[in-house]
Amino acid sequence: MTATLDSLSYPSTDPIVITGLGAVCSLGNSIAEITRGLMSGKSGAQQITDFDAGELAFQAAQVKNPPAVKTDIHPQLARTMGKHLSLLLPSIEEALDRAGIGSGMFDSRDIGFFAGMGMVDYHIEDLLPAVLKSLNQDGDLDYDRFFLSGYQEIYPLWPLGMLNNVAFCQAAIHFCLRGENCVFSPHGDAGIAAVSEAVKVLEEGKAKVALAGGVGEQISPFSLARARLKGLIRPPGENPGADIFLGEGGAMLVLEPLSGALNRGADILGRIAGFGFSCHREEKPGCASRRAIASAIEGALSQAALVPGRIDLIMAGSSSQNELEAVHEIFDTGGEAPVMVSAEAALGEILAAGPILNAAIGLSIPDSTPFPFCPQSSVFRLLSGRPFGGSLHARRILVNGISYEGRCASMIVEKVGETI
Amino acid sequence: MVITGYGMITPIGKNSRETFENALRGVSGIDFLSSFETEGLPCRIGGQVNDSWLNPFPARGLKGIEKCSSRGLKLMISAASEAVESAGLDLIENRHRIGVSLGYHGENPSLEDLLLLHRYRDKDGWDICDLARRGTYSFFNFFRRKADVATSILSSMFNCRGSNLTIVSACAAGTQAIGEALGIIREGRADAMIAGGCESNINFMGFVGFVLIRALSERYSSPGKASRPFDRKRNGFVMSEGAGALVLESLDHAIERKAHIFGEVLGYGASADAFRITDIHPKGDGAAFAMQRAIDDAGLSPSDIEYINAHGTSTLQNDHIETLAIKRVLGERAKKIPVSSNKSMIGHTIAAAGAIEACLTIMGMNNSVLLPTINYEFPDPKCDLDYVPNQSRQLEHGVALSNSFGFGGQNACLCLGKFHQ
Repeated sequence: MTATLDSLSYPSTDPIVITGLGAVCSLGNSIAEITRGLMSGKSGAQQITDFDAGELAFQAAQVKNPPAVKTDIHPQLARTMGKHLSLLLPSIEEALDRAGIGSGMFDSRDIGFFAGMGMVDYHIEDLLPAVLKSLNQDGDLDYDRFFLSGYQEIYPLWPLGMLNNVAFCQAAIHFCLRGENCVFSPHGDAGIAAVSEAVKVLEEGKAKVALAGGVGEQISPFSLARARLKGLIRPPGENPGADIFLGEGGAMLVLEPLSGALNRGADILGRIAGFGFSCHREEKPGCASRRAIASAIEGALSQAALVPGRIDLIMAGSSSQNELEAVHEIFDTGGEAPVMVSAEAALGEILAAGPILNAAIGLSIPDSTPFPFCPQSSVFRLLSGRPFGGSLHARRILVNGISYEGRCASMIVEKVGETI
Repeated sequence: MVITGYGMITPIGKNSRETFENALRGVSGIDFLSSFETEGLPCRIGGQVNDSWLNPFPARGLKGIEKCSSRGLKLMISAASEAVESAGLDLIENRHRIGVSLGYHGENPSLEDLLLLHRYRDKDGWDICDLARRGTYSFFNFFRRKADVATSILSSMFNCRGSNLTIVSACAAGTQAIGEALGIIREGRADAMIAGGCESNINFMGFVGFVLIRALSERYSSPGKASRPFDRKRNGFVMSEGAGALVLESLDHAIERKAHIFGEVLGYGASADAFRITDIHPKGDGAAFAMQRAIDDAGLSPSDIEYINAHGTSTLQNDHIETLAIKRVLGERAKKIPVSSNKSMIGHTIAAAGAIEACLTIMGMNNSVLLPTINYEFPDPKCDLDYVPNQSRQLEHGVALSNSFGFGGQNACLCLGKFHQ
């Protein structure tokens, strides 16, 4: 398949296009598998069985068996990187395969790499032996013993468990990605920031191709406690039917200038049309304010040179009322408002990977495929727009990424399938 | 792209002026640590910021925020307050066009955290449900750990509602934060950005990790002599804390509002070693590439570079390989170009380092002076450049590089310039 420059709707000297997609989440280990799962009405939510989550949560959309990518990493170092690495590597591998980019095709210094990396947590078992070795007969800490010798029981590389960039650097090593790079942390806005920076680097000619995406948090007692204390997830049984749960996942895009993609005969899967960012937090309900979310959406529309009516589908980045109100403010202008859906009911809250996975899903669903949007859907929960049961011609998709600390980002991707 | 404000807080100064003046005199901020027990540790020194230098936590309608605030953030608030004030940032009306880009990694768990967590551990593992049920582990502990909370608090505090980034690339984070801010303004997504980095690992748990991997200097005649970049007797870096902040603006925006311009960010380059997590590329490929990229991005050539503010950590590996990389980029000119390391006086402030060093580079250019590399006593044949040994040097210079190389292999470099009216 080939595309032509004039087949795209917006003026640009050399638009940045998407030539590869890769993802791993609770519904599958590839974009195709995830999309099939969604279209058949599956949800990735399951009871947490890896550990006793007790009163924190009873379900989550975990990745139970991420595909193994062969590496020569020392097992202890791999453990330190946790699931981050096992979500990141296969996402990149699939995206590069899909883009038809093999080893040696590009100078490694011409490949940019940008990712939003979800929170990582230290491993308590790396640290607690030092405490256990330093307890006195009453079970209290003997500080002298701890400071003189007990501390030596701490696993020396434990701080790596708190560095979001370690799995990222390991992925750079594995795929030999030596170009411009940056790691952003840790929510949905971070994934969009990563794509935005990749686009900038490509536009400036600092890279010929770039990987950009995100990886969410590993579901652990820590991440559940964090989400629970923040009010992001509710205790099991409280407010049934509206439960939000955490999900795991990674998603990656391959981006390149259209001219480069055409020259090498790559498939053009979509185009990055615009971004918007903002930050303003409200004390309650404790996430980005309506005004901030609206500002991010307006920024994306402005950069894409689009009026709101030209957006076909909105993939929500949160379950917050603020996001819904911001969308109404911008899109309820008398005409038919676009459908706004959330896939969180099936995939959970995937944080830094969420918007990238949403964009990949939006680009991957064929236009002719009928699928239902309804308020009660266990897959695509309809948040705004009229209930829909036919096939949606979603050419331009707005994806939002919302942080619970006030940051928000919006990105517009455009399918180019019909014009190629 | 111009710099209209800067601020810093370091072990040698409560603000940029004091830090610069002490650096000019070659004052070391390294001493025996007093903020936690170091008895028995092979390294007992570091660079601490005097607690009395921290700004009183401003109210600004942010009730309760102090509890979420790590020491790293408190340092950043001091540095950013100075930068914002010097830039007159409060006078800009459209707050949606002002963003924040911060390099930071969040707070380490404390020994008290470990003691608490230990109480919820049984033979089957760690019972976080019981911990959560009892409410003994503060909600705020999680928030001090999250680096993006710091960025969001800064945004709220200084009413910056534009792009907001938290960058977590270890020792390269501060420089990357400035580089990314540069890109955002160039793209027209913001008129101004507060960019910088902060870090505080001067606590037992933060410190001991580096002790155990033997990264810190363990052999020194006195604390002030321990950080000795490029010296043959260097034997590890010295941990420190601090923060640095710049206010970046487009030239047009700065001129329109008649802001004072301190300098220019001419270019930025980043790269990855993609070699080994724990080792630098032995030929300095990534470091050289980042420097070359920054020069290219500035539209300059290596022959335009007049000074390099080195990463210069005082580790055997970094200083040798950085020297190699500089030679690769500058070629025959390398030995004629002064290179110095601020870490010889300040120590290594991790995510803050790149921002502090960018500020000092600009101040050096504006004062026509090169800051020294102190403790340079025993030349290392493998490190054979002009490291501005021990004494600051008067020299008019207008274009400089500032290097930062992060653990894991992320490299970043800024090309900075003196502003000519």
